[in-house]
Order: sequence, then structure tokens, then C-alpha cells
Amino acid sequence: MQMEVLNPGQSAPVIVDVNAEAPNRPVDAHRYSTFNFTGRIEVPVRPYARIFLSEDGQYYFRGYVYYMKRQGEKITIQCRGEEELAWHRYSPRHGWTGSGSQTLGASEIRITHIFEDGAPSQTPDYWSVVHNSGAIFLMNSAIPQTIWPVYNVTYPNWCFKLVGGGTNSRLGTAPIYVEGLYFPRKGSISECLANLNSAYADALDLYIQFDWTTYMASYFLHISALNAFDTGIRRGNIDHDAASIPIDGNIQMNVNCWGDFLVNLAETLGLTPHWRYEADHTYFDAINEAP
Amino acid sequence: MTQPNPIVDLYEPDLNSLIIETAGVPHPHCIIGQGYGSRDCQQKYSVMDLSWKGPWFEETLNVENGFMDNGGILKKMVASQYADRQADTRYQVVGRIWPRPRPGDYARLWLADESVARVLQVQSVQLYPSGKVGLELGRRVQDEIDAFNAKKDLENVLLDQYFTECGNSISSSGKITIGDPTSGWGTPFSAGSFTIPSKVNNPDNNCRVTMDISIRLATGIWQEEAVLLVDLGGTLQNGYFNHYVLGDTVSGIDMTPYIDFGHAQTNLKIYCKVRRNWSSNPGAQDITVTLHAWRRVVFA
Repeated sequence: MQMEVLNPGQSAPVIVDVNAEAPNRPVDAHRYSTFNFTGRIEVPVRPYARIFLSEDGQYYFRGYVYYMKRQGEKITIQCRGEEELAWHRYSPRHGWTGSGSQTLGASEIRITHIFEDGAPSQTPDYWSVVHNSGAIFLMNSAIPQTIWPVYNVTYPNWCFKLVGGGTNSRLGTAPIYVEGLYFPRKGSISECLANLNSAYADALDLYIQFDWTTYMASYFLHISALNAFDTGIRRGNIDHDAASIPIDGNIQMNVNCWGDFLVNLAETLGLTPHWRYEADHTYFDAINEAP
Repeated sequence: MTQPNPIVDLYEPDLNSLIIETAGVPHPHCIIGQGYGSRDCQQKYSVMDLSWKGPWFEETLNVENGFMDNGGILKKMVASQYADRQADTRYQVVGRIWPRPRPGDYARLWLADESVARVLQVQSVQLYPSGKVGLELGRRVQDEIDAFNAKKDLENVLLDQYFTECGNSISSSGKITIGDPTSGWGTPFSAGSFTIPSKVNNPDNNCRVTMDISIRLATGIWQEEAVLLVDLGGTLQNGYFNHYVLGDTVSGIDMTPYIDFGHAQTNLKIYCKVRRNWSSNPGAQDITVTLHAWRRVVFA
């Protein structure tokens, strides 16, 4: 079996051959896969390293080191599947509201919009939905909500600073979205201050200039950096005519665990949730039949 | 805080044994503190390490009656919990170590496959008859005394004394017309005149004023994504709830900075509009606004 070891901070995994037992993969999507290994590995393994197992191009496990014990040349690692990271990410205050005859407008949120993993579209899609922040996008991208100190106020515009969110951080140069609206990164803080709805980052900190007339003094806007908190999970196959069925009622989030949300929503829709490992990502499927 | 001064260097090749063991529960890279208020206006404060480039772990911490400003306990509680949870790896070394550290001292550990040393606190020391020394560095194994202390801490909390209502609440009811993107904010609700007595704001009380808003929808109108705006004094800067769902009750909005204690305030207005245009505006809806004053104990 081939094991890829990607230690924290490294950009490419080291590949080694190991003689290991197969990972344990439960059929219940509420539970995560596990993989345990004791023996010698010819590369250093750090806590929280990502571990990928494959054989003949088929991926059996994608996870990370949850527990590690190293004694001499012998190493014991206990790994959990990447899907478990979805239980360590929490939502900002967010809602998806279904359409109804009490309001006009063709914009209609579909089930597929809720599971979306990509960056929010900046132009209306087929359903006239624009700036939609999908659950998997928010899970991988939303910056945890906290106090952003005010950097500058040129009434009526506000510039806030996220301390530690600069280009040296895990946010790097990831595209910034505020409530689904793209905030282009500018080359200097003065350029940022001169442009509404823009961002700037030096090596240490991230700055965001808001248009006050749009956002006012909002309680906790959600600000996202595309895949800066990547769990490795992407949207897979969503059945149930997800692209054509509008949601009914509304779904509200506030510091809810994304793992529970994804699995429970799929089950509520009468679908079978399933985690699928591929070479590039772990995919979340919600399908009509058991996998 | 001064940097710890290690009293001994430990080189992996010189040691008789080295065991590196991570905690059963990994340390979080972010703790999201959740304090006072309902979901639209809940006080939140997070401590995080954005320099970490590996898998990201968040945990949440509920802080009863926590407020995120400097007068509240939310920041302190979250920062304290975050700091406590950072040491997550235990190093057990055995070797001929000189000088012998004592518990509490710091040692510099050089691993064979790393070029940068780790400075770690000595948690325990074992002396063997052979003259070798065993050290436990970094994270300490939790024992029954920790469990006992945790239980004792729970018994000692002062949260009940922290936040008690001071005097009677002030309520005002009326009508609000909910606008939409085309028509604008609609007709706001004006709360009339209210006065929070100056006695409430004496230094011993360390007062906090919160507000609840309840909009009761007429039959036939259902929930809809909306925005809610609180305006006290015409600045439109006293609370803007971007993900409000029409009909939800918002409770616990912190109004303390905007209150003019001892003077009548006549300019509290509540605005609301749905995000998509009404097919037919349903007209005025019932609304109730309630202000509460709270007395607090401050922790140093």
C-alpha cells in the first residue's frame, strides 16, 4: 500500500510504501474513518500530518494524524478521516431562505446551492442566484468571527484589520469574500482605502474596506478567504433533483458544526450521505441509494 | 513575559530513550467564544493562530453572560482557555542528563530530524538508581488531582453574581411596516420616550443595558430573509442584523454604549426590510421592544 505523508507546512507529500492494515471505513456518515499504524516509516511524521493511502490509484483513506507516539525508530500513529475535520469547523450566522409567493424575484435557492463548495458567483446563475455562500464553501473558507479592530474611518466607510491575517498566514493571497461579494485585493493600503469593498494584506495583517451604506455597522458579517481553512472536503454527487427543487422554509445557522449540518440535511432530504475518497479530495455525496 | 531560560540542552542521539506522544485530543487552533444574546446579536470572540498551516481545529466555548468588550468576561475566558489548551505534546526522555533540572525548569530539546530546538518546561523528574534521569517535558499527563480541581472550579463560579437584573424592564409596543429593496426601509417603529435612571449607572453596578425586539407577523405572512436595523440617535450605527429572519425574536442586543443615563431618549427606532420585493406589502406588523438594565460584578 502506498502512503503519502504531507506534514504541516509542506506543499508536496512524501510517498512511502508501507505494509499496513486496511483503514476502518464505517458506512454511517456520522462516523469517520480511522487508520492505525505501528512500525517504521522512512520519513518523519509530525502530529497533524495528512495521510493518504492508495493502491493502484484507488484511494482508501484520506485523513490526518490525530495521535502519535514515537519511540526510537518505532512509530505509532492513529489517523482520522478528513471528513472528521467537518466536525471541527463551525458556521457563522447564516441563513438560506426559501422562496414564496409573498415576495417577487426569480432568485430561487436550490438544494444544490446549499451544498455548494465553490467561490460565490458574482453574476446571477441560471436560477438568478448571486453571491450565494454554500455550506462547503463556508466550511472551508469562513474566517472565524471575532473582533476586527478599526484601522481607519473615512465616514461613511470603514476599514477594519484582522491581526495575523496577512500573506504569511494561512490566508496567504486567497480571494476574499464578504457576504458572498468578492473584495479584490489591492496593492497597497492607500489603494484599499481609496476603493470601496476591497482588501489589502501586508505580510502580517489583513485589511478590509467596507462600503458602509451596504453593510452598515453589521453584527458579524461573514468574511471568507477561499479554502484558507480547507478540510479537503468537496461537494460530490447530490441526488434528489437538487438542481431543480427550491428549498421550502428556511435554514439558519449560528456556530453550528458543519459536519452535523451536512449529514443531517442530506438525511432530512431522504438521501444517503456518504464520504468518498478520491485522489484530489474527499467528496461528500448525498445519493438516493446506499453506496 | 520573559522568555524561559533553559538550563540544559538535550540532544536526541545522546539520550537512552525518547518517547514523543501527542494528546488524545489535539489542541485547537481556534476557540470561538459564544457569549450573551440570541443568535442574531450573540456576543462572539475568537482566539486563533492563523500562522498554523496544517489541518484546522476549532472548538467552541460557551461563556454565560459573556460580553466581548473590555468590560466583559468573554475575551478573558476565551484567551485563558486557548492558552491552557496549547501544550499538547508530551516528551519523555531518559539519559545521563547534567545539570539535573527540577520540575518547573526549562530544557532545550534537539530532535535528530529537526534543526530548530524546542524549549519545554519540565513537568516531572525521575531519578534512577543507575544514575540516569527521566524527564517528562511539555504536556503533563492529567491525573485525578486535575479532575478534582476541575470539579472544584465548577463549584466556585460566580456567574450568578455576575449578571443580575437591576430594576424593572421598560417595554414599548407598536407597529412597524417592513420595507423591501425597492421601497426602502418602510415605516420604522418609534419607541417613544424612555429613561434609564442615572442610579442604575453608579460605579458599583457596572451597568449593562440590553434590548429585546419581537416582531409578531400577521396570519398569512411567513418567515423571509430580512435585515433589521436599530437606530438610537439617527446615526444608524446601533445594530444591523444582516441575517435576520422575519418573525424571529432578537434578544440581548447590547445597547450600553448608546444610553444617556438619567435623560429621556426619544429617538429609538427599529427598521426592517425583506431582501426581495414584496409582491404585495402586508402592511404594519406588531412589534415589542424591551429594555433591561443589569448589574454586574467585574473580575480583575
